[in-house]
Amino acid sequence: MRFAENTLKNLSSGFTGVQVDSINYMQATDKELVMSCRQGNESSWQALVDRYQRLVYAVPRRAGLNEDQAGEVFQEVFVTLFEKMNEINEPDRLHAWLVTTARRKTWRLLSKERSRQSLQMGEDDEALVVVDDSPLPDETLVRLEEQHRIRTALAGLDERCQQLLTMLYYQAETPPYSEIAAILGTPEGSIGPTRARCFKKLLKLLGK
Amino acid sequence: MNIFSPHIPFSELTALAEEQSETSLEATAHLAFCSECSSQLQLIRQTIGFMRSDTAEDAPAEFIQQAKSVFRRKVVAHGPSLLQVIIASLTFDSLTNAPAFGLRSQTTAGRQLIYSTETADIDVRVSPENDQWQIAGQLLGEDCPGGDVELEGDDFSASAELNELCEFSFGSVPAGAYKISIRTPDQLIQTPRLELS
Repeated sequence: MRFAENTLKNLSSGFTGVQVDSINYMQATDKELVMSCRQGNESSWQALVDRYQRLVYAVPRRAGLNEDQAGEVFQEVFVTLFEKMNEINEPDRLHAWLVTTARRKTWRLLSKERSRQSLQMGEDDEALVVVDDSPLPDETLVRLEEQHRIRTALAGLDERCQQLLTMLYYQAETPPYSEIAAILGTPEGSIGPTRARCFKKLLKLLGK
Repeated sequence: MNIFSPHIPFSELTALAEEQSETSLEATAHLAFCSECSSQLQLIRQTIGFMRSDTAEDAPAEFIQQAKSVFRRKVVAHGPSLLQVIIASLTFDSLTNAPAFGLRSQTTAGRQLIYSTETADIDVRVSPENDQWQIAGQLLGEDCPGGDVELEGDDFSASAELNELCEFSFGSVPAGAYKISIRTPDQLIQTPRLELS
């Protein structure tokens, strides 16, 4: 059974300010998506997965886990999110909840991995340690969360601003303005003012 | 703009933040005087720093798809919050591991794998069958509540029921990567993908 999207009309009870008639999944807040998921909206769930896949995957990867291990953590985090959906008290702090959950599951997997290696190799084997013993300091996680917030805000900008800011700040080498202007189909002289306008919108979406 | 003018224009702040233009004496004086402009410049620099240092990679598409399917599997098939989904982890593989303490001994033919959860183990045995594979297994635990098993691959999938000993088997399975899902009345246990080639 798939829940009809018009059940979103029920979302407003107890949550003022939540858009209830329809959802723009790219621009919806976490709270809106969580509330919508609770009402059985699969598209909202998919939007949450899309929004957070990079952040959730980054946590075990930063801890040094390989792709398969990170995939295991990734699946567990989203399954846990689904199961705990009704228990999340602060949906607008979902990013912090996900990072904490991913960190715990990463630690758990690292611990299991060490136990398994101990059994196989013996305690005195110097080759035993293959992963960092104290991964994921708070500073790393705070940075990941902030980078996630900026990317999410960026996704809420119009396509032109997204393109421009991506070219300027998300590429290893910033292309020359002449190249950016050609891609955007705009005079080179307008790049600076457009950048400023886009950046201002970005900061506004970030609440700054 | 001078030290007495209201503020440095935002476009100039972004250029300064990128260090594309040199800070003029006027701007330097204004920034020293105006905490609003200097904190805005700091904010822009910090945001650009976060963007430029963002090297996080997308999760593989397969992982994303599996995570998205959690909703459909649980809500569509069983209704929300009725079923506990558990990811079993591989704790023994006769192909690569020596047997761990307490596990069944290694078989001489085929391959044995043990997947574990906190409450149960799944014993999976894989053997060649002509140019295909046979997969047999058993849910190990105190009780056998019954249930069904699904074998899911990209190009092949099959389902079977657990018998009274909680055993299951699949024959003529082509090479590929497969996930096994065991659905009991109160749990859905899933294994990571197993590569058969």
